[in-house]
This record gives sequence, structure tokens and C-alpha cells, in this order.
Amino acid sequence: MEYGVLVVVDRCIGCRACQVACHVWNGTEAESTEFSPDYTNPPDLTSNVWTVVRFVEMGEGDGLRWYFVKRQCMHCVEPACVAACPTGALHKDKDGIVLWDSKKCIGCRYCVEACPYGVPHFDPLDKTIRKCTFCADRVREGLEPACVAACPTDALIFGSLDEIRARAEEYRAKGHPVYGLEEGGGTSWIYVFPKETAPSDAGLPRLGPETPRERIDKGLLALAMAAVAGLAAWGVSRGKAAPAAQEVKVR
Amino acid sequence: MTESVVVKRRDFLKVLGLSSVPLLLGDSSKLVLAIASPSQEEIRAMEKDLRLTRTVRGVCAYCAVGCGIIFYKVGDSVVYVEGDPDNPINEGKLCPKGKASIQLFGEYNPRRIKTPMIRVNPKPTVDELKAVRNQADLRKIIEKYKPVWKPVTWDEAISFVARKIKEIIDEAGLDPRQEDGFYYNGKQFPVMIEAGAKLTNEEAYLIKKMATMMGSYNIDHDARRCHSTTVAGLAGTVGFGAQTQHFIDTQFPAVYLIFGGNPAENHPVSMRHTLRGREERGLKLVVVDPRYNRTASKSDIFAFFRPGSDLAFLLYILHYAFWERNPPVDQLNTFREFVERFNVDIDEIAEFKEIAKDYTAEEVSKITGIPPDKLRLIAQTYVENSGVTTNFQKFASIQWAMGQTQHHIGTQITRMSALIQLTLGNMGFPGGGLNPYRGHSNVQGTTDLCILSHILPGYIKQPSSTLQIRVYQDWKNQGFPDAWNWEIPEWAGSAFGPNERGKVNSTKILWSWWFHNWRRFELTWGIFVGTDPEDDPQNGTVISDFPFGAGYTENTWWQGALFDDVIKAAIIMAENPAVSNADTLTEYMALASLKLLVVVDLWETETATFADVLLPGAVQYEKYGSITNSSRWIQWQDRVASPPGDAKPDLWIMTRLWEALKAEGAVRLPSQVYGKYRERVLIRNPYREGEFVQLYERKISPFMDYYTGRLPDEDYSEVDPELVYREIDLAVDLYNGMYDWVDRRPLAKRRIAFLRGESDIDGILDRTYLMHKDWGWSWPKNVRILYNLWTLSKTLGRRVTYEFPSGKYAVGPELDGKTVEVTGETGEIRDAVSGEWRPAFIPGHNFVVGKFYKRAWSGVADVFTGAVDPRSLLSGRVVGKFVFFHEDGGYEIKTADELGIVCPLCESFYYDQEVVMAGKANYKKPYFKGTKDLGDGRVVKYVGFYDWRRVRDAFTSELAQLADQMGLKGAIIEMKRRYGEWYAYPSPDNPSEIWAWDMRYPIHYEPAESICKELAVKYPSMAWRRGENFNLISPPKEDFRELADTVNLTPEEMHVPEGAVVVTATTNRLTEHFHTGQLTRNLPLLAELFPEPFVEIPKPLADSLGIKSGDIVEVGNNRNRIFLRAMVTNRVPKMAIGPDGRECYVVNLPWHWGWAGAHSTFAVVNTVSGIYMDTVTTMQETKTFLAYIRKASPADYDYRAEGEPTSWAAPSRRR
Ligand code: SF4
Ligand code: SF4
Ligand code: SF4
Repeated sequence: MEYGVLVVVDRCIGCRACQVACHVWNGTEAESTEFSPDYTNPPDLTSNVWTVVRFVEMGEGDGLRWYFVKRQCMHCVEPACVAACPTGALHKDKDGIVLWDSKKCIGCRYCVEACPYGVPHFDPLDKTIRKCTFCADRVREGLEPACVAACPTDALIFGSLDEIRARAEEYRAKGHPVYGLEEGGGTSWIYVFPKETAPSDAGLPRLGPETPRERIDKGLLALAMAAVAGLAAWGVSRGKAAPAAQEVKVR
Repeated sequence: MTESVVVKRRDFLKVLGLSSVPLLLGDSSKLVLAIASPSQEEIRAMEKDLRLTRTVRGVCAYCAVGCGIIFYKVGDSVVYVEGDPDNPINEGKLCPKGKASIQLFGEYNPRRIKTPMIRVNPKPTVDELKAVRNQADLRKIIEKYKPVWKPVTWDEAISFVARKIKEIIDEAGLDPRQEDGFYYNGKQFPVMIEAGAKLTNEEAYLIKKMATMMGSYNIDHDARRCHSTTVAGLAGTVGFGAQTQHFIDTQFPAVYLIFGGNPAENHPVSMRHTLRGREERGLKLVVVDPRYNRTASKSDIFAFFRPGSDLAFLLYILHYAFWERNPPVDQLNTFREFVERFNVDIDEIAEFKEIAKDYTAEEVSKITGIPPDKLRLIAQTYVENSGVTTNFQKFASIQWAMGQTQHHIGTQITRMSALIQLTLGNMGFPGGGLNPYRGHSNVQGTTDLCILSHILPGYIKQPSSTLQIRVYQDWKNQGFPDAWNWEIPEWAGSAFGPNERGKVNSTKILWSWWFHNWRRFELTWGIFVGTDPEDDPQNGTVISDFPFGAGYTENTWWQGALFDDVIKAAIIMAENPAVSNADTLTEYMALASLKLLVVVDLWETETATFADVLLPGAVQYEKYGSITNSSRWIQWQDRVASPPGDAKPDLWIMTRLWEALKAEGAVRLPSQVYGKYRERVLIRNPYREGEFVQLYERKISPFMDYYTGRLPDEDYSEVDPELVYREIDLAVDLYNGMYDWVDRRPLAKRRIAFLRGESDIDGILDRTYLMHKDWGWSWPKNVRILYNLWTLSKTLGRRVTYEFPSGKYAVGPELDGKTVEVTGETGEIRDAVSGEWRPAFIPGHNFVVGKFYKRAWSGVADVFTGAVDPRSLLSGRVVGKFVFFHEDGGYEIKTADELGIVCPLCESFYYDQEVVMAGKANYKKPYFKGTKDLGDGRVVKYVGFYDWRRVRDAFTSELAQLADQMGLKGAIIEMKRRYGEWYAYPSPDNPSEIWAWDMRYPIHYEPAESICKELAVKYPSMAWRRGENFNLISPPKEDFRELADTVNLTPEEMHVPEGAVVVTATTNRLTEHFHTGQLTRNLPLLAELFPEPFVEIPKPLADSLGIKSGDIVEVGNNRNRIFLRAMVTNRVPKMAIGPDGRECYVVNLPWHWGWAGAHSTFAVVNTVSGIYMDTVTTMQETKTFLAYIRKASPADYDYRAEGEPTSWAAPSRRR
């Protein structure tokens, strides 16, 4: 059985219990951050911060909207990072979880380039990449991921991917924009957005239904470009995200 | 202690692997996802961990939602934290603060202080601080006087403090020998005690007990600054100053108006239930706030409003209901029925209707900035989903926190919320009521039990005259009667209620309840209050171990130090007023003026900068004790770990200090000075003039001995919190019932998450509304919805009866042997005669009930039937004597055993239909009464609205005229000089009689500092009614005259530098931080989310000032100037207000930063806020004040991250 999580943005109160819970469970250190102009902090995922809540403010007056979108590894059905990893350190397990084996990781950072969501981050101390593990160590023992377990308003719903996809379809039928059912071949973390918004407002990359493998077939150049576009859109166009984006370009 | 074997966090991973395919391995310092299996050695090591690992349960130490929390421990190390899945409040969930709270423990937090310290260098001086007008000035002084500490032992520290206090008391020359008796004046004590809302119930109760026994009411805590106006406004209107619903119940309103609160940020887990209601039950979330906050992001209707216009907005809801709606709500039968239930004279409502008439949508729009259409939409949505308009099927409910309370008329605002709920039939139902959400984990408990300067634990009056003590002694001699059986002697006059036996009114019932509680304190504290001899109440010598009067509050004590020269020392435990007090610069001067300042805290706080002695305390998780959440649920905290180093729980510190003070001779009770060591408990023979029967004799000796040796912890060996818990149950009627004297268990420890069966007490309600009545215990008598009188009969249409078997229970003839109908929530108590559970309130709960009571043993026995000494009482032993008089004057004395009484310490009160229906809501409540002689032939008379309306316009136009001539500040001083009172004007009928508004109903008052002068004179602030506020514009002491220049009541009075715009400023909190920031800035996991101080600025204003997000801006006024980061956003408004629709900007200042600890700055937001105090409680007006804003240079910004955040994980993967 593959696992999945539904992120119901309408239920999220932007409290960031998920962000803290991820640290507490995984023992990742807090990041030294600076002032953030929109509450999102750190502005992007890092090798220590495996999930970050992005604050999206739109409009003004009666048209003012403010909503909160949790980011983490999407655990893609067909992960671009896995496709790009030359050593097999990154792999997708039978239960749908995309993991890395730090003993095999050589720090080449191909995955960093390949991921359209800007998820894997190179850790300068470990000299490997690090990212959300879907709390494999919890879910395989029948526990919810740490972030899901903490979320006060059940904005995060954990279950089998089939069940999660079915619930996402229900929301879509009710007119909610949904992300992750098809994009890039689908993801295990699927987002339900508030009715009057679009996933791209929250910076999710506009991806077609083709899988990375299919895209790789279309040529590596196209892939690299997609990665850059993805990072710029989903990641953050200011502050700390910039070097990451540049890093991709340099290569 | 609830402990079970679980696993260590790091090895948790490995241990989990034991049960199936191991997947996480590698060396312990790295998280590695591997495929290998563990070796035999590793498995053995894991098994050992498994055996060693245990869980400890408690309550989250941050806000007052009361989330259950579980810590996992291996040996002494705390390794993981999770929400308690069994706890129905949070169902396993936690917000980021709860989740991060593992970093509070010493093993993770290097900033925790670990040893007692005495200062060896000089402190900042008052004169230097007086000159501070900007952040840099302050910084210079604080850095110049950075404390230098000498570590000392506890013995040294405690004896140093005790010696100093003794000296200071001696200098003050306190003596209980007064002209008319033996007692202290509670406001004369030279030591101010401030003890925070993070203390447990047991600690709060003990510190108040200690202060009282030392003769002091100069004791107060943070509740003064947070919900004092809620407590006063609600208690004065419906009986109890508390949340009527509870968090699970917030899913049941049809409309939930969030007005003055921000639960998504400040009570995040509560939103679990509210959003569930929105999704599953169609709850409509209406948010009215100066900010579009995270709660607003989930709203169905949202409106910005100008802070300080709260009353106008609320008045409009009733304007709509009375004047716009067709038919008006007061024409509805349901309304009449409801009004009858709350016993209101219909004339009172007519007067209030007249007030509401003026608050039309158009007028209110000019005051609040909310467009008229939106006002109508909100009022309509609210009113049409209310009890009276839906035949009690749907309810609209109000939530608030500091938004309503922190105003100089906070009491009026919260009271207005109560009036709305009364008028619309939304009070006392699941889904309908009042929801003030409290801030600190135990602030409800510390209020109840009660670190306050004006009441004794459980909302009991402090005596203020010897007459009261005489009447009390006489009441004792009548056999401790309830109000119905009490005959008030003629010589007492009429102030205590009707004299005749059998005749009652609410004054008389309340006095009988206060007296009853005084008696509880006498017996449990080992003190004496009464006359000597006991049988001559009218002429005997008055001796009162309770001091008289009320003390300084957290907001007035600085005047006690600087203006009145009374306060010379302070003990501040678990509080950081140097950041949290309004107009903090005055607080600094007061702190600096002290001869001794003792600070007990987890960290070296901003307040510690001024301290002479700094003592390391413990966090809630390092204690044992009970914690009361915002909705009055009492839960138990077990000790998770010992505090780091030499740090100690506050209970230990305060009892040590008590011993030392006693040894120094600093504790001298009036009874001891008089030489009264025994009390003869005498009951007057009602049939033989002048004859008294002695029931028993008891020893008078102050009691503070809580030794049991039960707990293994060294620092709890001398004081067992469970023993204090028992004492609270006995001493405080409000909390009586929280200890089960039959099964001998604290009900706070009860963890039954199942719902009751239909035939159980309150079973139908419990099942239908998910009350979880077997989880913990709630006051009063485990009632979960206050004033729930009608849910069974009206909302659910159920007919429920209860049979009181004859002769079985300690109830009166009205219930004994009767089958009664139950219409609402009764709560339950252990019956004193049988020891069995029985319903408490018949037919349900109602306003004030709990304070209103009848007593089965009225006139025949002492409270608990009497006690020779407190210690035996706590172990369950009572004297147990009853006296029964015969009409011929004979009598017999029986023991409890002879009468077959099973549990004399269980409740002997009962509440029948007569008691429950005596519970009256105060629709009208004049805060000022009678007359005041001005001494020049004129008299001030406090009048109601009809009279006030006749002079109101003359008053405001004279004020306007003067304000034009001399500015508002001068005009106020002049008006008060002319008429001897504020809000006063000569009567049109008789110029020597000055009419002053008695504040019987809420009307709109502008904030003390108003952005709009026209509004400020049309709806003048009420602040100047209170002397301490008047002191701000007219300081009573020569040395402090220039303080008046720091006040800016209108933009015209402010010194505004070039390039700045004057705005309405408001203050706020953020999800990720807590109050003064010490509990969050010092936690890297939370600091990651909001490291730096900032101000939220409306985009149009920022654009016009050339300010971009991240720029450094100056926020200032006549008080101070501070420098922070700008956050430019549309989430704070630009609005149109006033007669000419002028533009007005609101900026928001989160106030979590100060100069101590991590992520520090001297930009203390409260140095620019004002300290205009509530007319009733002295609450400060921090929700609205004037400030200017302009762009500043980055050089002025002094934020320091101060040291990189350290890793939280004990064996860090980084090391
Ligand atoms: S699933 Fe686990 S690792 Fe991933 S974001 Fe949630 S808590 Fe972090
Ligand atoms: S914990 Fe839940 S509600 Fe809070 S920010 Fe994360 S997803 Fe949103
Ligand atoms: S701070 Fe409040 S809401 Fe958050 S976990 Fe603690 S008690 Fe619950």
C-alpha cells in the first residue's frame, strides 16, 4: 500500500505546529533566520527545515485573502530526483515514500536540480542531501507522520494514497482546485486549495501530466529548465532561495 | 503518576524497528535510513531503553486551552513530546508552542538559570530613567548597570531576603493595634508581591495565604493586565467572571463572533473544535478586528474596526435588535420568557433601549470605521441566529481576549458582551454564551485562588470595616446559617440585606456566602477573625487576621512606590513586568526605587535587570500541581523532570521564605499581638436570651505545614502539593468538590474520556454536547456550561426528573423525599450525609448560583462541623458536633457519628429551585452610587441615563470649548476642577447639585488617546474618573511633574517629528511567541519562525512614507521612541472615521521583545503604550494608543540574535 497525505488548505490556520513537529521528531536543528516580510520563515526549505509553511497574502479590502500552504517533499509518484540520482541513494519504496540512503549519497546534487519543487537540500555538514522522509520511521510502525499528528485542525490528513486521491477527487468535484492528482505524474502529498485561489498563487509549479522519465526522454536540457522554472515559482524569489536557484543555473 | 513504558526518542526509532523490519539504523548520532538489521547487542541495548523509557503526562505550559501533553523520558532525560491523544480538549494535537516546549527543560536550554544569585553592583537610578525618551537612552542605562551576580546558596539567599524584608517592615512601623481593634490595613504593607499566572493552583493559593497572614493585600498578578475587566464585567452582570462554555463546545454556536480575540493565533488548538463546527455544523465565523489575522483568514464575514471603538460596535448589535429589526426582539415571547428568567425589571431594559437608540449604523460607522452595510450584515447574522429569535434552537456566541479587556473601559466592554447575550437569549446554553479565552496556562486558577489585591481566594470579599467583623461574629454565634436562616442584628444596619430571618436579597445571600468562606479560611488557616469575647459581637474587641481594604494592583503599585512612598520592596515570581507592563518606563522607575527586588524566574529576564536577588525557579512541567484552564477545567500536572541545577519549584521557594520570615519575626498576626490563642465556638440559644452553647474549642495558630514525605523528590518532601490541593477544596467553596473525600482522590487527576450514559447525572447533556464530564473537574460542582438552566427542557425538549430519597442526603425539606424536574446542567457533589454522588443545582445552573446556596446544617453546626486544627482537617478528621435546640430552651449535642454522617468534609450545601431562581443577572449596574460632598456647599450625585442625558450635551460642549482653548489635557483638568468629578455637570434643576453619570449601562467612550479630537470630545474618555489616571495628567508629586508631558491625548498634543504620520497603534501577540517572549525567544524552534521585532503597517501608509518591508522604522510618541522592522501589509487597515470621514491608519505592534535573552532589542513596545486604567479594575489601555511612525535609519536598530540558536537534540547530530 502506498501512503498519501491530503493538505486541506481551507483548514490550515498557519500555526506552524507542523514545522516545529518535524524538527522535534527528526532531531533537525532550528535554522537561524532573519526577519521575514510575510511570516514565511525560513523563506525556503533547507537541509534542516524539511517542511515550511508558506504565507500567501492576496488582494485588499473585502477581497483580501490570506492562506497558508505547508511545503515538504511531495513524494512524487514518479520522482524526478530518483530519476536523476546516479547512485541509487534516492529511491522510491514500495509504500510510495521517497528516501535517501546517506551512505550511498555522494553529494552530487543532481536531485537538487531535478526536483521541480525545490525539496532536496544539500547539507554542508553531512555532505549529503536531506529532506522530508514522510516520517517513514513512524508511518511504517502505524503512526501518522509527526507533522500530521501535531496539526491542530486536521488540515493534514494521512491515509492510503488511494483513499487520499479519492478524497481529493471529492473536493475537486465540489469546485476546489486540487494539485497533485496529475501534475508531474502525480504526488503522494495532494493539495486542496480554497475555491477562489489557484495552486500557482502559492507558487506550485505548473506541471503537465507527463512524468519526469517522459521528460528526460525529451532531453536533459528541458528537464534542467523545468527545474529552474519550478524552483523560481515554488521556491522563493528572494532572500535565501536565490543562491539555490543560481546554483542550478551555474551548472 | 501516569507512567508507562515507552521509548527514548532517538532510540524510539530503533525500538519501533523491533516490531517489524528494522529500517533506521546506523550510529546513534546520525539519522540514516538503512536496510540492515540490528545486531544482537543493539537489540539488547534497545530492550534496555524500552524498559527505562516512561511517559509523564501534564498540561501544556503556554496558553489556557489546557491541551494534554505527554513527555517521553529515558532515565532523567526528556526525549520526546506529543499531545495527549486521550485528552478530549486537544485529542493529541499541539500548537507550535506546546510542541516546542521540550526546549524549556534545562537539558536543552542553556539559558535557564541554575543557582540563586545576589547582585553586587549598583542598580539603575530613578533620576536617570526619568530622562529616557528613546530606545538608545534606555540602552545606555541598562548597559551601564548590567547586573553583576554573586552565586550564593539557597540558605544565604533566603536569609538575606528575609532579613531585608524584616528591616523594611520594621521601618514602615506596621502595627495591628488600631483604635477600633486589631487588624492591618492591607495597603500599607511595604512589600509588593507579584506572582505570575504560570504558578500552579497550589502555589497561587499559598502565596495569597502567606501575604494575607503577613497583613498584606499588596499582592497581584498578570490577570490584572489580561482579564481583570472580564472578571469584573461578567461577575458584576451574571455572577461569575469566567468563560461560560468550553473549548469543545465552541463547535456548537450557529454564529461565532470573534471580537477581541484571535484564537487561531493565541489559542490555536481551540480552533480544532470551532473549525469542526464550521465544516460539520454550518457554524458561521464572524471576525471583527483591527487586523486581518490568522483567525480572520478562516472567517465567513470579516470587518476591520478601529481599536477603541469596541463599545460602539457592540451597542449597534442591540440597536439593530431593538430599533431596526421588525419586530424588535423585546416584542418576542421568547425574549419575555428569558427576561423573566434573569429577573430583570422591564423598565431597566427600557432605559437601556434608549441608550442603544443613538447608536445607529451611520453613527457607529463614523466611530468604528465599519461601513454601515457591513454593520447591518453582521448584526443581522448575529441576531437572527440567537436564542430568542430561534426559540432557543440556535445560539450566537462571542469570543474575546485582550481585545475587549485592555481598555480603560474594559469592564464596560465585557459587560456589554454579556448584555448582548442576555438580551438575545444566548446565555447559558451549549453553543451560546461568553467566551473570554484566557492567556496563561493557569491564569484562571491563579485568578480564582487568587493572586489578587482585592479579594480572597474564590472571589471572597476582603473585610473593610470592624462592623463587618462584628456582624460576622454574630453570624457565627447564630450557628453559621445560610441567608434564609440568618437574622441580621438591628445594630448592623441595612448594609447586609434584610434583617429578618427568612427574608433575603442578593446582598444578604452574598454576605452569608462570604462569611461562610471566611469561616473556611479561619479553620483551614488556623487564624482568627471575630471578637473577643466571642459572645459579645457588638462590644467585644475586634480581632481580624484578615487585613482590611484592598491593596495596590500590578498597574497602580508604581504609584505606591513613586507617589505614595509605601512600596519599598517587591518579590516578583514568574512575571516579567519590565516588558509586559504598559508605559513601562514608569515601571522601570518604580523598580529602580526599591530597596529590595527579588525576582524568581527561569531566565535572567528584563525585570531581573533591576533585581537585587535572582532566584532560579521551575517551569510548570517541573512541578506537581493542578492547573485550571480557561473554561474552568482543572487538570493535573505531574513532574516531568527536576529543574536544572539548583533551581526549585516556587512552592518550595515560598514555603522556605515563609519559614525564614517567621524566624525573623516578620510574621505577626493580629490575633498573636492581641494574645488570642483559642476560639470558643459558641452558638446562641435562640430560645434563651443571652445563653450560649459551646460546641467546641479550637487552637489558633497559623498553619503552613504540608509535610507528608509521600513524594520521592527532595524539593517536594516538605510540601506535598496534594495536601495543599485538599486544603483548597476545603477552604474555597468555589473549588469545593474537586477532591473526592470518599474515594480520597483529586478529581483533577481523573482521566476518563468516555461520555456518560443517559441516566447518569447530566448524562444527556454530556452525550449530546460532548462535555466529557468525567475528564478532570470543573467549577462550580463540575458544571461545564455556566447558567445552563434550559437546555434539557427548551432546546432538547426532554423531560428529566430526579428523585431525592427521603432522609438520605444533606438537603433541606424542599428537596428531601421529593421527585424534582431537572431542566439544565445540575453538576454533582458528594453528599455530606451519605457520601454518594447527587445532583447539585436543581433544576439546573443559573446566574450567581454557587455563590447562592442553602445549607443543610444551617444553625446547628460549624463549617465541616468544626475542626480543632487544620492539620487534622486535612487528614479527614473533624470535630463533628451538632446542636439541636428545643423550643423550651433545652438542647442536645450530637456527633456526626451519632447522626450517621458519612462524609462531613463533603458538601453540605444544597441548591433548590428557590436558590437557583434567586440568581439574578444585573442588567443594570451602577458603578457609582449615592452622593459625594464637595465641601463647598455642592454635592455630586451619581445619576442614571435619563438625568445624565439632560446635561450630557452641555458637558461635552463645555469640554469641546475648553479643549479648543487649552488642549484636551488642560480641558479635562479644568472640568474636573470646576465640577469636582469627571463626567459631571450641574443639574439643570439645582446648580448646587452636580450630576455625574453613574455608568449603570455601557455607552461608548473614546479611548484616553483618540486619533480624532471631535470624537474625543463627543464621547469623552471615562479614564479621568479614576484618581490614578488623573495622576498621569496631573502628577501629585513635585519630582514627577514632568510625567504629564509624556501623555498625548490627541495627535495635537504629540511632539511629531518631520516626516512622521500619527496613527492609532494597537498591540498583539503571535502564535509562535508568548507574552514577553522569554518562553519563546529563548527556544530556537520558535525563534526560527519569528526572530525579529516588527510592526505591521498598512500598505497605503507605508507607500506614502516610502517604507518597504524590512526597513527600519521609528514608532514613537511623547513617552518613548522605538525602532523596529516594518512589515508592510494590507492586513492592517486604512479606514475612514469621524464626522468628516477622515483617514485613519492602524499599525500593529507585537510585543514579545525585550533586551534580555535571545533575539533581544531595547525596542520594548510597551514603552510607547499608555497606562490609562480601567475605572473598575485598573486594567491598562494597551489595545489602543497614539503613536507616530516614520522611516528610520538601520543604525537605530539594535536587535541582536545573541548567540546562534543551539541544537535542541541532546546528543546532537552536529556534535
Ligand atoms: S512527513 Fe515527517 S519529515 Fe516530512 S514534513 Fe512531515 S514531519 Fe517532516
Ligand atoms: S500544523 Fe496544520 S494548521 Fe498548523 S500550519 Fe501546519 S498544516 Fe497548517
Ligand atoms: S499553547 Fe495552548 S493551544 Fe498551544 S498546545 Fe499549549 S495549550 Fe494547546
